[in-house]
Amino acid sequence: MIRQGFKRKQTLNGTNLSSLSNNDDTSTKTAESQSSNNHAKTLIVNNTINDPDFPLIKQYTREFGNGLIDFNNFLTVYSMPPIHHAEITLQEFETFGIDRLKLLMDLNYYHKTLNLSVKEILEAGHFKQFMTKFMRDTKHNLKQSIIKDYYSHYILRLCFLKDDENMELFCSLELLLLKLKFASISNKNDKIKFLKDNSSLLNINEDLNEDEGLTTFSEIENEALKNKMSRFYDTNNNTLEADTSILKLKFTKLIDILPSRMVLLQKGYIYLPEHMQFNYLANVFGHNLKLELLKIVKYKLNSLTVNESDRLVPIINHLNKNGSVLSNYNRKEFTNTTGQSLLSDEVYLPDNYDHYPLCMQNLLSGLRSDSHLKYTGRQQLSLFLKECGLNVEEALKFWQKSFQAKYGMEEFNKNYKYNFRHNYGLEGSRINFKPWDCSTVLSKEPPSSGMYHGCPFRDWNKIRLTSHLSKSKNFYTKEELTKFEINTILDFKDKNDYMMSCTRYFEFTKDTLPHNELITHPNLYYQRSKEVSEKKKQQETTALK
Amino acid sequence: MNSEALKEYYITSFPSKSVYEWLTRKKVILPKQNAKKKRTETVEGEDSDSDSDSELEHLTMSSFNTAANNREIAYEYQSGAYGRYLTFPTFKQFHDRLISTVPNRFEVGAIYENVPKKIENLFGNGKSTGGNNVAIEKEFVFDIDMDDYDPYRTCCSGSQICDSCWSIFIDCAIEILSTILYEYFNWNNFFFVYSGRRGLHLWVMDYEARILNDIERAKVMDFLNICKNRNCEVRLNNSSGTNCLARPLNPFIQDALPVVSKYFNQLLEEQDPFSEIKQTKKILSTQFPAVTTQLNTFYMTNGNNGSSMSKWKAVNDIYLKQQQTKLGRNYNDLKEKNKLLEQKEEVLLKYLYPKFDIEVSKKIGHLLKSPFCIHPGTGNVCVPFHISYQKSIDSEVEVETLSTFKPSTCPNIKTLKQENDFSSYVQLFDKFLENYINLEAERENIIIESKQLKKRKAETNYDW
Repeated sequence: MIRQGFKRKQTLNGTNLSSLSNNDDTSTKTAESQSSNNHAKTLIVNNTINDPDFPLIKQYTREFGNGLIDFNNFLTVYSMPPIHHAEITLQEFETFGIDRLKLLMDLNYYHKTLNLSVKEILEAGHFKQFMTKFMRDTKHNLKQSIIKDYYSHYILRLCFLKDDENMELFCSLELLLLKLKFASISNKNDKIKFLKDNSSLLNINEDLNEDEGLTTFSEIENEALKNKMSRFYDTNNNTLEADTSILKLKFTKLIDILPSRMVLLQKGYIYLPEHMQFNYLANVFGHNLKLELLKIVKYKLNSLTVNESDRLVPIINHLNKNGSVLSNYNRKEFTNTTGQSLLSDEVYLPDNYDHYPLCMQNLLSGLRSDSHLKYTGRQQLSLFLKECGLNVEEALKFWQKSFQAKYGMEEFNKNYKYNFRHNYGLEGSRINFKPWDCSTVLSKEPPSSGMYHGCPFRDWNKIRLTSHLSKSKNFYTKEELTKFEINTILDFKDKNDYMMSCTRYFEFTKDTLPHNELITHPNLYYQRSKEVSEKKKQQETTALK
Repeated sequence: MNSEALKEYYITSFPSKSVYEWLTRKKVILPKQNAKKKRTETVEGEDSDSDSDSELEHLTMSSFNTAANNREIAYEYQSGAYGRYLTFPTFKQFHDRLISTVPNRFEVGAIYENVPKKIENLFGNGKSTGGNNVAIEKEFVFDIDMDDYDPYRTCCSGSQICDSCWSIFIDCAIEILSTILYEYFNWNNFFFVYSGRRGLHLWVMDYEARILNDIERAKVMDFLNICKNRNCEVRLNNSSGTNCLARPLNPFIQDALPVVSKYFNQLLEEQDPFSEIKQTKKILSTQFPAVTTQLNTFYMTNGNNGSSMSKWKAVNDIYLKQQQTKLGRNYNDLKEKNKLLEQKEEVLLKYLYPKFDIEVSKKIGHLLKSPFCIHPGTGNVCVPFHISYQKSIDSEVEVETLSTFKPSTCPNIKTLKQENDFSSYVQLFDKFLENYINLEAERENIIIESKQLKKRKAETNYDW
């Protein structure tokens, strides 16, 4: 059956994909009936709507333009598999897949690696640019664009099935795209319309108990609660009206947005007003997507690999490879490539010490003055030094010596030896622990008094940081850092971009980094710094000759 | 610590039956006539004969109780060694082991899916085997240490604690936390324990709280922990990293405001926190410019005379004056006025909002010292002194507190014999326990009933 697929019969072709994507009937029906209620209102007038062969369009909620078609924000949660909408060729199958993959990769790059928020990506125009580049039909045909969007999503579902991590990645990418699309709609009413259109997803999903689900503001009986809600949620843009829909859920189901303190919690339930329901909807979308992927693996993968081994599978494998490239793309696991080694009495030598990043110098000076470090600091420093080439014997020697003033040999062995050996994978779970990268360092609690871990660019106040920075020498001028340079560093601190602060600090005091590299790892700082000084030495010796 | 005294304590005073019942949520059934005899026999150190042993074992063992079988207990032995992943399926084992090994203290961990196993090597370092043994349940615990309040208290520092800081900071924390648990989480069954030296433990026993996983616990703590950064020069944080609390305040913070202002007055009276200009400036200067400006004005005109109370009143007066004179004149004035109000509120929260040691709460498997252990450093008994419970699932919350409790009156192992008020703490704990065990039984019945109902429904469906 599958062999007749894509090229000729459009109905069959649809069935193929739908059987792969494995949506159950009920959800399809609800989605269909629901969207048919709304589509006339939510879609701009366009001939495509009346095309009986193209029910797919009913899946989409779009912004009312000024009669203009904005191709960037077709919104759908892909609740209905692409059954009998149109035919696509194998060629299209591949290009659709690749284009969407590239789109997702690029967005992911901006979001994760460059650490731009959804808002920033939109404001900088990246989103529009990528959508135009990858997803828009060249002839500005609405139907074609929708087909591309819809099919490419389902095609990629087949490409991210390798393992759990792979699936998670796809879900997070699609979630990002959905968030961007939603955020790109400027009209508030259209946003609400989208939520209303898809409220079935909010209601039918998960195992809601009898207290949970959608109500309206006027249906809440507790007056005190109502007062609390309007006090807390009313802003200039949004006020709670009698018919504002409120989603009531156990707080564990919305646990991700709890820490933002943007939501109202009462007796174990979160009350979410209309304008904040998108987040939850997006989460449900991500969650459902994951389940669907698992279903494919469970029920359909076998028939896919057998029946499509010479047709779709090669394409999928090709796309998949790109996907796995992507998954390795961001993970900067640091490995000691230079194979340096470090001895316990060399730790403080200027030859090494000057190359440590500020956080490590801070830890070492704290260690010197206190003859002790608290646990988090110990972890941060010892794993860093380990990666710098301090082996376990030397490490024990180093720490023992450092703690000597406060703790005798016996006490050290009793209380701390295990800890350090554990870090080297010689005790307990025997994991060979990796040194912390900057985001790990930043994820720890900021240090309180008597603690030295963390990132000085975040944890030191401006005065302390400035006084330290003003003592550093500029690499070129050999003079102290100017006010301007210090302010550049502090500016990034203000923006909470501590890695950038550190990178700038490196560039001012050492040298520029190759390929605009960002310092994302203390050991990267160390290694680059060493390389730079090696290079300088070599240049000097050749110059002498 | 004197190991004889400790052994004596475990034998005569330690309410091992209550603690074991608390850990396993089931009544320990001792054979009526024999029980007393048995207890005295073990006390005398004689090994009781095996026949009645197995009888006792049989009666006290409930093989289906995962809470008993898979609950991790960790011993800190007197040698300093540490034994993790101990389990005690029966009360007898629990009691006998305690008396035979006399640990310095023992800590309570999670209930696991399977029996957590341990390999004891030479150093006494146990390690769980079997890889994926998931923790399924543990009480949600909060830990507050007084040394986190150091910048804000003038009476003591470090691990010291006195009745003054107790009655201000800890009482305030208890009041705020109780409200949060009742109003916002609907967790009603919990008790506070003095940790023996400088802190406070809170055990939340509600089922919903017990089954939270690591991620959920961490998020709950991110939600509650507004004093994330202990550094007193930094303002209260949003989790998003912006440098002050978002307005409007989340209701749980709003609710804390009247409480903190009540205790702040007490603080001003008892501790005179603004007595030194330098100290005041360190805490307030950069983070609360509006408040500091007003304080500075006060210093300028009055020098450093007057109590903290009068200084704070001066700030308040200026706020009131502002409110009267500039009321609603234009937007900027309004903003300026709010600034002072907001900063005033934040100063109070910064001083008095509970400062959690969140690592303890975040991990389901984190160990915490059991109630009624002896603090190895001070010899104080970790006594529960404030309980909150429900008689049945929908009934009103009842609260009982031993108002006489202060760290200075805490029962100590050295003076335990001369004092008889120790029994009141045990009684308090037993009262909590009785209601708690009933509540658990009720909850289990409901689950069983709903299962049966489902089953019956399924059967009738089948008939049709």
